[in-house]
Amino acid sequence: MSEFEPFQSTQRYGNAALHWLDVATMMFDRDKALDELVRFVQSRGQDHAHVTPQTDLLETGLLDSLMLVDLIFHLEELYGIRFESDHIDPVNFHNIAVIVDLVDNRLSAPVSRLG
Amino acid sequence: MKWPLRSRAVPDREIPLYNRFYLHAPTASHVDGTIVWGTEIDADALQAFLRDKNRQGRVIITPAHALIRATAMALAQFPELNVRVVGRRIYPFRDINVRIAFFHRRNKEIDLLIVERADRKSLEQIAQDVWQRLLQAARGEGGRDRDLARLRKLPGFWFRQLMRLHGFLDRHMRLPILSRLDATRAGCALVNDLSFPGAPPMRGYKASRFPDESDTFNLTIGPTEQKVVARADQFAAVQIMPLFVRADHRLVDAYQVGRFLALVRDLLNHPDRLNLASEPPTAAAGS
Repeated sequence: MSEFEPFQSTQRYGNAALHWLDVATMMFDRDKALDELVRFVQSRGQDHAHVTPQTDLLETGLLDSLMLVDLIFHLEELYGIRFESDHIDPVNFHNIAVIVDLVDNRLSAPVSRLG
Repeated sequence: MKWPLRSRAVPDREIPLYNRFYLHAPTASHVDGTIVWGTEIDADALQAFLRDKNRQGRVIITPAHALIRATAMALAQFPELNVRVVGRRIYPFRDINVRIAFFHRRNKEIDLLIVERADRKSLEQIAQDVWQRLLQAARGEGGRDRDLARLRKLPGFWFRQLMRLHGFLDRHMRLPILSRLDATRAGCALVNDLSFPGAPPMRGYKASRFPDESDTFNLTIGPTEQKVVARADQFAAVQIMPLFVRADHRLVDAYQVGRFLALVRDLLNHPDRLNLASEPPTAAAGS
């Protein structure tokens, strides 16, 4: 069982799951999030196999639109946060470390949760 | 109610005789009225431009957005190509709208979105439009997504009858946009970005034609490849991207396709030209 599994249920159960989000905010473990996201990106194929948290995904051309949308929904499902098109800013997605920062920020912004 | 086509057809005297030869060919002749032309673009220049844009900009821009913009600019340059066949007549579109195929994450299939008046939008605005629709589709929150879900529930028999009726009316009559599902008929060009990581090198590509007659042009870019070229008497390794166009010979001839493709290629090879004219302040993005 994944340790993130409780948070995956937030969208399914709506406001009742906000409690879990508070727990998620408090429990957000940056190192684990980094590790999880690196594994997610590395699983995309051979070209992505050597990605590290600092690899620039935009400069290297590794972040195509398919992967970006998958990545966004992976994060939304995992942490119960919601991204809008305004968030698709190069500043937020140029490497995995800044993506984790973005998740951290979104988790600390109560109004952003569950849309 | 929107009418994507102008009310007056292109007069016969303005249609080149050879195009009319294809336009009036009997169905029984099984004529193949398709022209395909493949070329390459300088991916080094395009990628450097996109890297620069993405360092400074506020929305992620991809080669697909650049291709939409280049196609729209080329159509603005050659308005006689912004047309489609209805029956045996040719009608110009009112606006320059460009469609793009994308992977609908929720439905796990390909869908289309349309960028309206793409010739008047900056790259940033085009990117905002596309990302907005991609996220909406992935959540299944758009009106079109609900309509697609309803269409999917139609039994095969009724689906076929509906498609036959719609296809017949669309092929023979100048129709308005009737629903969210057929809003994507409002453009003559469809672009396709097949440059995703892991895609095999592309030597040839002919996109199939839609059952309706609205896709006069299909432009597809393929994955980046390294190639050795001669430049100023020296060999150099460069990155290239294949670019293919499929065109309808009832509307254009090879000379026109060549000129159109040359302009799209030139814009992508010198992508700073994609910024010209309609580069408004970033605050207008997504409006």
